[in-house]
Amino acid sequence: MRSVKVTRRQFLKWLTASAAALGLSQTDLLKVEKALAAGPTPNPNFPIPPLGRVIWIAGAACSGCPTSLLNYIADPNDCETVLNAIGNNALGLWSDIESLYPVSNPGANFGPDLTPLTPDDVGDGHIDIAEVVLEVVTIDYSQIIMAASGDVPNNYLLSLMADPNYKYVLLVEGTIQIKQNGKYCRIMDVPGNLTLTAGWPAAATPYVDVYTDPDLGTRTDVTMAGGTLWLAANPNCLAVVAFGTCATYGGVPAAKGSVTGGKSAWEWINNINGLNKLLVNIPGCPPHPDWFMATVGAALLELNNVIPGILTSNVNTAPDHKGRPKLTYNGVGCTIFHPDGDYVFCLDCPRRPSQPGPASLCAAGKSAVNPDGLCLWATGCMGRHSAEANVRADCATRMWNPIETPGGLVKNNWCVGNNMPCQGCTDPGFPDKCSPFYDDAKNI
Amino acid sequence: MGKILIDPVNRMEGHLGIDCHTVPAESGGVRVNHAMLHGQLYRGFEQILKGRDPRDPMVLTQRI
Repeated sequence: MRSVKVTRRQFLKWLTASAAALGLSQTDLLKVEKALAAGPTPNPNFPIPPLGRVIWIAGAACSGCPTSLLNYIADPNDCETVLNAIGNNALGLWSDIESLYPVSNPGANFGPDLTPLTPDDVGDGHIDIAEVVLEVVTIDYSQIIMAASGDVPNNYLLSLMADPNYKYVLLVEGTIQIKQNGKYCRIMDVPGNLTLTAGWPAAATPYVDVYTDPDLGTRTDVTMAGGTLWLAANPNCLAVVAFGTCATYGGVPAAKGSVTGGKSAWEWINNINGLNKLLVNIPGCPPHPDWFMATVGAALLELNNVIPGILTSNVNTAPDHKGRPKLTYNGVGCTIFHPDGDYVFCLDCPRRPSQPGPASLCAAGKSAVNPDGLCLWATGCMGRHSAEANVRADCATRMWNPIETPGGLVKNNWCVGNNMPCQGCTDPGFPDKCSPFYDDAKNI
Repeated sequence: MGKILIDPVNRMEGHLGIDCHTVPAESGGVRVNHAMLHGQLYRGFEQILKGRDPRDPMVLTQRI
């Protein structure tokens, strides 16, 4: 007999969608979220507590990144996509994570004794990275996920920051705009004078606005630039994760012609303000959810000493000179780590065997003669261009938007497979370096 | 006359704040008689698009 497994995420998703029908208020939802956010019970046999807490702030962004992440579907029948994220030995690694952080309701073949997984177990859908991550990682503050608005989450954030034992990872989404004292993006208005709190970085003072209102009292209006510094400068901030091309390299809001002074998280936190934080970049516009999940998984393995160095010192998996974990940005998939050390995007492309195709998307399309279509180089594909530079994403093998079928997830499609030239969205130069789009790539 | 400030407003794309001015209501509670929404993010897509190749906006404006 097999038990029906409902994860916290599925439950919360269902509850949120049904809130109106059930007559739940925002406060009720908050109570439920708070109860669920209490998190898993740490394994008593395991000395280090779970990675735990995340504060997620968003600057100049389009919310495409969280949408991509929340769209994540863990494949219950074919674990290949998840396993590829970690590499050859993935099955063993995920069984490590599973035993470190037992999920709430293991299935029939995976008992409370937490015996190591075998390939047979995998077929029953017990590895669910989404569940592992959501059981282990608690997102304490996120404007796109939180149900409550206004001072309820603001006060919660202030209470967390006042707790000297609260350690967290700061997740930054979106460009940080610094012109006009950051006023192009204001992220929250909190009660009290924030600049008087312990650990306030002086460099952030010009980027907040302290005012006194006759009805509301003293309040602080926080911009993205100031808020990022406030949250990153705290010694309890263990690491910063820049999520999406905007946060990693500036992206579209920092493109040529922009007047708002957009900076990447690394530039603002470590370069301009010299905080020297441990920072991991996850570029992509948006990033593939697997890239995020694999990075979180690697961080767990690192922090729990299961695979020391996987995210800090291992030359094959740790971040490269652009801060991207090679784990996911060096062509993991069917071709793990090319002998020359540099992953070439085109090597996995089904259109590669052809010579540069015609300069027309219609003429280069899929046909009976060319079922995979012709090379899109002449219509602006950034694959070859970026092979020398910086794309290195594994879209060609990982693919996007898997389709759920009765037989499991089916890999769906990717830009080039859909007759769309690669735009180079994980490239540090995106979008200016890749512009004009759709022009012959040899001209760019 | 009182005031209610909700900032940030969550579960939406972008950044939004709400300012409400309230007056005592006949029933004994308060009534909102004046409310203002403030959008709190400006990215300047208009400036970014100026002078670009006409094919670029197809890619860039997807990101709004």
